[in-house]
Amino acid sequence: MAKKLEVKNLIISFRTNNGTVKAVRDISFDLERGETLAIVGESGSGKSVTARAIMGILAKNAIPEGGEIIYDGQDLMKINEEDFHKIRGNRISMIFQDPLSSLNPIVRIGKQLTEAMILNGKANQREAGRIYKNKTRLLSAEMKEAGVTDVDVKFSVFNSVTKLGSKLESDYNYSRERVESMVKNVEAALIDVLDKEPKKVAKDMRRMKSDAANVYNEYLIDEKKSEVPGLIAKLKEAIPGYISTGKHDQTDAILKELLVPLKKALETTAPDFYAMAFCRVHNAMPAYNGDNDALNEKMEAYFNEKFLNSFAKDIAAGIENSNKKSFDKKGNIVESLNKALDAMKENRIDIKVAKEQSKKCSNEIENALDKLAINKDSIAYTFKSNINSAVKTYAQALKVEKMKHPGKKNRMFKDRMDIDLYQNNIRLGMTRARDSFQSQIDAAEQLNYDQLSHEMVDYLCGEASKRVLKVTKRKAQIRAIELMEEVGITNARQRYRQYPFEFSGGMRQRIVIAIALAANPDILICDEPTTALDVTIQAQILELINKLKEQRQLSIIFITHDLGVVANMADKIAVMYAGKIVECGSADEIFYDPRHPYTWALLSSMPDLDTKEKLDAIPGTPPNMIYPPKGDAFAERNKYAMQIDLEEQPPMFKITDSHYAATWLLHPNAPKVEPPKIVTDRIARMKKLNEESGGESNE
Amino acid sequence: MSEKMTGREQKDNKLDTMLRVDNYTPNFDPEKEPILRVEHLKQYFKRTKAVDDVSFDIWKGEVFGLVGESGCGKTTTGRSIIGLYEITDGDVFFRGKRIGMGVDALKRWKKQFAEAKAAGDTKKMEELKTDKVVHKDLMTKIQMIFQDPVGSLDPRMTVREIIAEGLKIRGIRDKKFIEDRVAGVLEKVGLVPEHAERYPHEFSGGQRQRIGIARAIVLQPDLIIADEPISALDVSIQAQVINLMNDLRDEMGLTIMFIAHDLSVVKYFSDRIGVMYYGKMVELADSDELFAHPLHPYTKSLLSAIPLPDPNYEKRRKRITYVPSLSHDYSEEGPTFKEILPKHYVLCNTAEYEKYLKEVEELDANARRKQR
Repeated sequence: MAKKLEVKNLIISFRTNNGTVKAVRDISFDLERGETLAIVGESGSGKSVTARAIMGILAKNAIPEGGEIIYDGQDLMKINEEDFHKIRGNRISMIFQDPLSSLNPIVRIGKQLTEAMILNGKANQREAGRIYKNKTRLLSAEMKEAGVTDVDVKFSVFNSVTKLGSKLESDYNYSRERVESMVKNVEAALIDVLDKEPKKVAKDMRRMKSDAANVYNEYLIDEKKSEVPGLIAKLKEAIPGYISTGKHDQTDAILKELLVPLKKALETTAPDFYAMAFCRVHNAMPAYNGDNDALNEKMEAYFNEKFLNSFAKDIAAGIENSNKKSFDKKGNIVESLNKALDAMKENRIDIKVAKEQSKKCSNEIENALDKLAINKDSIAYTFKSNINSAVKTYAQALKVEKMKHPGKKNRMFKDRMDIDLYQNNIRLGMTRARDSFQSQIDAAEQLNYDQLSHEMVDYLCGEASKRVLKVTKRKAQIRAIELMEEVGITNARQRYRQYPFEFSGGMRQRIVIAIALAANPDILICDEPTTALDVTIQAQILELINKLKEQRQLSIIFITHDLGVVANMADKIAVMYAGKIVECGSADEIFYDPRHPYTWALLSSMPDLDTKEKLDAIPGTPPNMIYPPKGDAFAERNKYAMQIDLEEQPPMFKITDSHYAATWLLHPNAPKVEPPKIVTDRIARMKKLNEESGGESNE
Repeated sequence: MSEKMTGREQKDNKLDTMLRVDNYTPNFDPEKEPILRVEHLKQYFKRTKAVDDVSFDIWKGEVFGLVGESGCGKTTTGRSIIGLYEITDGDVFFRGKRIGMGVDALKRWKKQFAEAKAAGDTKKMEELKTDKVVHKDLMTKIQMIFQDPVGSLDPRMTVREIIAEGLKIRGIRDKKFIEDRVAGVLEKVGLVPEHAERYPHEFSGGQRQRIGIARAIVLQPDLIIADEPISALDVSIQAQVINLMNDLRDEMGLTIMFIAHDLSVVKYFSDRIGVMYYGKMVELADSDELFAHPLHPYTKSLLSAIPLPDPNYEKRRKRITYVPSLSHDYSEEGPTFKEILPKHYVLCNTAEYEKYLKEVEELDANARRKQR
C-alpha cells in the first residue's frame, strides 16, 4: 500500500491571553491508501487540532512550531494559501461534528451541493487556459533552440486545431448531457404514467421541453435522420389526451419507444474532435454514414499523416533539448550538494556556511527545474522553502543559545530547542534532494522521447478541452443527485430542492458527507461525525462511511472520543492525551492487548452490556496545557503512576511492529502491573465469545 | 429529638421543617404503591403526537430507564410529568396524589360532574371533587437534570445563586442556612465550597453537569428526572457522572427516571427499562429481562445498533433495521400493551402475542444450550 499522508513531528501551539497553549506536542503517524486511522482522546487532547492542521484551517492564533505534513510530495505546513486551495476540499475533505451548524439554513440543499462544483469549474477553466499558454510558449522556445524549422507556423496550426476541436467537443458534450437528463426524465415520466399521476406527468413534460430542443448533434442524434423528433412530436400530441382522459396505452408505448434511440445514442463512441478539427480546416472531411468508429479511423489517419507525426517528432526534439539542459545542471547540483554536505560535516555547522551553501544550492536547483515536465518533481519544487526554514530555525537556536538574558518568547523557545535536530534537518533536506537527483540522472538514459511527446500532445489537448469545459448547473445537478443517491438519500430528485431544516439529523449528516465527497477526495477527515446523533443513526452513518471507503479506496482519519465507535471502523488506532500519542496500534492490538494506563482508563470508563461492577472513572481533568507537566502528562490521574512518571517523559516502547505505547510500565525494570479488572474481564469475555462463534461457524 | 444531635443533623432537620409539604405522605406505602404513576399520558403539539397514550409506574428507590431514538418523545414524557407542558390527556400521580391532569381528562371530569349533579349524587360529587385537585406543591419533590450542561445554567448567575434559587423560591430567607446548604450539596457532588463564588463558564463540561445535579438535589427531592445527563460529555467524564448519580442514589434514597439513547449506559444504570418509539411505549421490562428476551422488533434493532469495543464482534455484527410497515400487520387488530412474561410488557396484538411467546421459548432454549 502506498502512503497517502505522513505527519512527522508535528508541534502546534496557540497564543492566548494567559500564555501559549501547547495543543499538539510532537506527534507522527502515517496514513495509507484505503486505510482508516482512528484518533481517540478526550476533548482538549489535540485531536481536532491535528485534523485542522492537515486541512490548513487552524485558527488565527495558532503557531505551527514544527513538523511536516507530507501529502503528494508537498509539505502542507509550508505551502502557501493559493496552493492549498487546490488541495483543500478537492483532495482532502472534512466532515464536521455538528450537522446542524455545518449547513447553511437558508440555502437549498441542491445549491449547497453544487456550489463548489460550479465555482471550482470556473477556476479550473482559467487554470487550464494559463497552463496551456505557458506550456506551448516554453515548448516552442525549446523547439526553436533544438533547431526545428517553422515552429511558429506549426504552433499556429496546432492552436487552431485545439481551438476548433475543443469547441466541437463542448458542443457534443452539451448535447450528450441533455440526452442524459432526457433519459432520466423519460424514465420518471414512464413511472408516473404507470402510477396514473397525470399531474406529475405534465410536470415531467415541462421539464423535458428544453432538453428536447437541444439533444441534437450530428454525431449523437441526427435531427434529420433520427426518429427522435417524430416521437417527441407524437408524445406532445398524446399527452393532453392522456391528461384529460387518463388512458395511457399510447403514451406508455411512445415513451418506451423514445427511450431506445436515446439510450443507444449514449452508447456510441465520441468522435476524435481534434482530428476532426484538422480535417475541417483542410476541407478533407471524409464521408459520414453514422458510424463514429469508422469516421474516427479515417480522420485520425489523415491527421497523423499530414500533421501530427511530424509535429510529434518536433516536440520530441524540443523535450529532449530541455531535458538535456536540465540534466547537465542536475549533475552539477549533485556535486554542489555533496560539497555543501562536506562543508557542513563538523558537529556545529557554521551558520554562515549553512546560509551560503543552502542559498547556492537552492538557486541552482531553481535554475535546473525542468519546467516542461508534466509531473512536477515535488522534492525539487519544495527544496528552497524546506531548507530555508530549517536554516532559519537553526540560526535562531544559535542566537538564543548565546543570549544571556533571553526575552519571554525566546526563553520558551530555548526550553525546548534541540540544536542537533535542527542541524540534522538541514543535512537531511540536502541528502534527500541529492539522492532524488542522482536517481533521476541514473534513469535518464531510458527515457523514451517519442512516448513523452505523445503524452505532451495528449496533455495539451486535455488542457485545451478543460479550457472550454463548463460545469453547467445541469451537469452539477446530475452529479449532485447521483451523490445523494450514493449516500443513501431516497427521493433524491425531490429532496434536492429542500432546505436543511426539512431533513432529520442523520439525513443532514449524509448531506454533509455528500458535499465532502463531491470533489472526489483522496482523504476524508471525519471529526466526531456521529457525536450529535443517536445510536441507530450513528450505526447507519458508520456503515455508510465504511461502504464509501471500500468503494472509493478512501483513506479516512476518524476522530472520536468513544472507543466503542471505532471498533468497527478503524484499521489503526492512535490514542491521544495532552497533545501526544500515548499508544498506537492496530484495532485488534488496542482492544485485545491495551498497554497504556490511559487506554485502560478509557476502556474501563465505559459500560458494556455485561458490566456490573462500579465504573473506573478517570479522576480529575486533563492538565492545563499552558504549563504541560514535566513527566508523563497522564501521571496525575493515573493510579499506576511511578516516581519516574512525574520526572521524565516516557519514550515510545515497541511492543510489536505496529504496536507502540509511551509508558514507563513497559520498561524492563518496571514492576509488573495488570490492567484493571473490568478491562481484563471484558477481554476474556470477548475472547471466549469469539471462540464460541468461531466454533459455530466451523460447524 | 435528643440534645446529642450534631450540627449537621440539626440543619437537616430544620430543612425538613422548612421544606415540608402539607399532607405529604398520609397513608402512602411505597411498598404497595408506585412513587410515580403515569396513566394514558398524551401530549400533542398541534397535529404531532409527541407522546401518545403512555402508561408506566416508577417504584421507590429504582432507576427507571427510558430509551428511544431522538424525536421519539422520551424527553417530552419527562417534561410533561414535571409540568412543563399542558398535558393533552391522561393523569400523573406522585405518591398517590394527582400532580397532572390532561385537558381532555378535565373535559371528561366536567361531564361526569354535571351528570352526578343532575342525578343528585352528592357522594360521587365529593369523590370527583377530591380527585380533581392537582397538588402542584408536591412538584418540589421532583427535580430535573438537563441534557445540555452549558445551556441549562444561567451564565450571569454565580453557582451559589443557581443552586440557591430553588430554596429562595421555597421561601427560605436565612442567608447563613442557604450558604451551608449550598456548601453541603457542592461537597456531595464532588466540588468544593469555594466554587460557589464562580460563574458557570469557569467550569468544564463535567463540572457543569455536577452543578446541575447539585441544583436538583438541594431541595431534597424524592424523584429525579435525568434527561440525557451524560450524552453531551466525554466518555471519561460520563463515568464520573454515572458513578456520582449512583452514589447519590444510595446516599439519599433517590428514585431516578433516566432518559437516554445509549443502551449500554442505560443497561448498566437502570433497574427497569421502557423502550419508546414514535410516542408509544413499545416494550417495558426489567433491564436483565429486556436484554435476555428482546421481543419487539424495534427493541431488537436498537440492541443491534450498540457499538462494542470488540473488533471481531463488530465485524460480525449485523444491524437489524426496523420498518414498522413491514414488521407489523395491524390492519385487522390494533396493538395493545400486553404482559408476555411476568413484568414484561410488549405492544402487540393477539397474533403477535402468540409469536412472541414462542420466541421467548426459543431464546430460553438457546441460552440453555449455550450454558451446556
